[in-house]
Amino acid sequence: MTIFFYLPETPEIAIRDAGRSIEDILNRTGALVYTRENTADDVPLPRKSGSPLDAVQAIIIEGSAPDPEVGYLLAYAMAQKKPVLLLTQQGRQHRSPLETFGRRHAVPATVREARYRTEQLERILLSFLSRLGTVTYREAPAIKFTLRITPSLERYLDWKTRNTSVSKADFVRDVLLHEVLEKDEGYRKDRERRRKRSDETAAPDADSAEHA
Amino acid sequence: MLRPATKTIQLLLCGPVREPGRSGVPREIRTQDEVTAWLQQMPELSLLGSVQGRVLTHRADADQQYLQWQEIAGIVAQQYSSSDGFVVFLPQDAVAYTSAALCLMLRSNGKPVIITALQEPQEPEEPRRGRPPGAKQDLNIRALFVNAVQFATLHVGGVAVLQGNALYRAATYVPASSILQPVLRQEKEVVGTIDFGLKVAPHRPHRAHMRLQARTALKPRVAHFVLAPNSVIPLPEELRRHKLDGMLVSLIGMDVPRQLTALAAELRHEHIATALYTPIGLRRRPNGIHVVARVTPHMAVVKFMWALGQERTFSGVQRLLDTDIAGERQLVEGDAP
Repeated sequence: MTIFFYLPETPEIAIRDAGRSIEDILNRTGALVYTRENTADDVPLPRKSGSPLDAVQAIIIEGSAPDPEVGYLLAYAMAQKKPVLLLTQQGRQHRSPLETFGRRHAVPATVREARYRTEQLERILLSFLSRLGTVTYREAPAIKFTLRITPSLERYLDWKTRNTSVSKADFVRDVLLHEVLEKDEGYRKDRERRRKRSDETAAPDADSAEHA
Repeated sequence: MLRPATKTIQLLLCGPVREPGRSGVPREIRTQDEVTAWLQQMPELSLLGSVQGRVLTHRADADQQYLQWQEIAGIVAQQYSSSDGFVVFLPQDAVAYTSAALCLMLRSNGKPVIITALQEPQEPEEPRRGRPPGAKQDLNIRALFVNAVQFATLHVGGVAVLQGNALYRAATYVPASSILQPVLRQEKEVVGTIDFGLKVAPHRPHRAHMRLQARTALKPRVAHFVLAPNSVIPLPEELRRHKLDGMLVSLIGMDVPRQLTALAAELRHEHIATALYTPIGLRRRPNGIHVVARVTPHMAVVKFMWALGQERTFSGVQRLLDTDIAGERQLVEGDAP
């Protein structure tokens, strides 16, 4: 997986810090990341002709600072039907390049735009990469939940997990996820509806990475 | 600073363009409505500026190509004040001559005129499941237009040719197929490159504020002969029959033959000018024959046609041929400065 990450030249420390965070997260996923500083001169990129952008699988742009190159990268990626993630920091007032399309539905589906806070970056990036089918993103079970069960249920869980490497807690989580949540059509439609609403307001969906 | 998407780019289509999304043979876009519909299928161009398309009559016949040059130069001159840049899309075989002609015709041009052509793939496209035939070529067309339009919004001074990953100075452009390319130091004539973005070489502040002078007059009936040892010199009757304006002779590995000097003198009485082309110049100039030197072969033909259209006297034509009009004169390997 090769990704081109574009961070415009800017004196703003917040954007530069965010750029470093994005690069770190992308590197951790195992992707080969090209940046403006680390281009084809430094890292060999297989290509016969055309732009090196042809050889990357996705383009991620930090578009918080105004930059003419952003418009070109977006246009080229759309022309090549390459997936693009356009990131802008929340609270910034600058005009999105995608506003030139007027209506949002005119923007191709390959282009995703997300406004972020720094702590959301990892989730947004992994969600985007998951959609490309390159990273399997699983939520960590970080929420503690106390569940009281009956002795018969305890006997069943004990019997079910005996002589296996699966803990009772893992078993309950798997059953909830695969047998209940994934098969619940009503819940899935509700999530889709919320995600569409979230996309329209250009805010990242908190759970969008869950099953991408 | 954010560049507002208000730059106006004129897109001139002068060749067969396949409509994106459809397979099969290239489909020539003929009408203005077809161009408008075609541009609407490329909404990404709106990110770069306001792109206005115009279709020109395709002159496939080599004898008629000069009309295409004049038409393009006329449109550039007409739209010069209201546009920020121009993209000219041509068939591959017309690029070298058209770029040479536009350099000469558009004097004091300070706005980018990007000439490009779609390169036909060397290998047939591999069929892939889920991808309609011709889809890859469509993507290439769209990417080419994005690159060309973006270059037209940048500070590219004058006419340039976009080919592959580089933007070449049009006045010295030589097609990749030319045998003279290694000699003419083409790599030094690159004014822009395509990497992960577009890079344009810095140049002097240009003459964007100056008024464009379009000098499009030329003499179209010029025959080009290549003379090598043991070649047959054309007969005067044959030249008269074609009602030529001029004859350009390229000399390869030989001095000026006496028969050619006599022929030139005979033709001069009938107002048919003769010129010799040599890439590296001549030690001694023959009497009564023009000399076009230190330019590319394509530029030599076009410059001779153009100079004949601009001046009437022998000395006037030769003065133009010796003048560096658009940076077309160059030094080649082994040539003294």
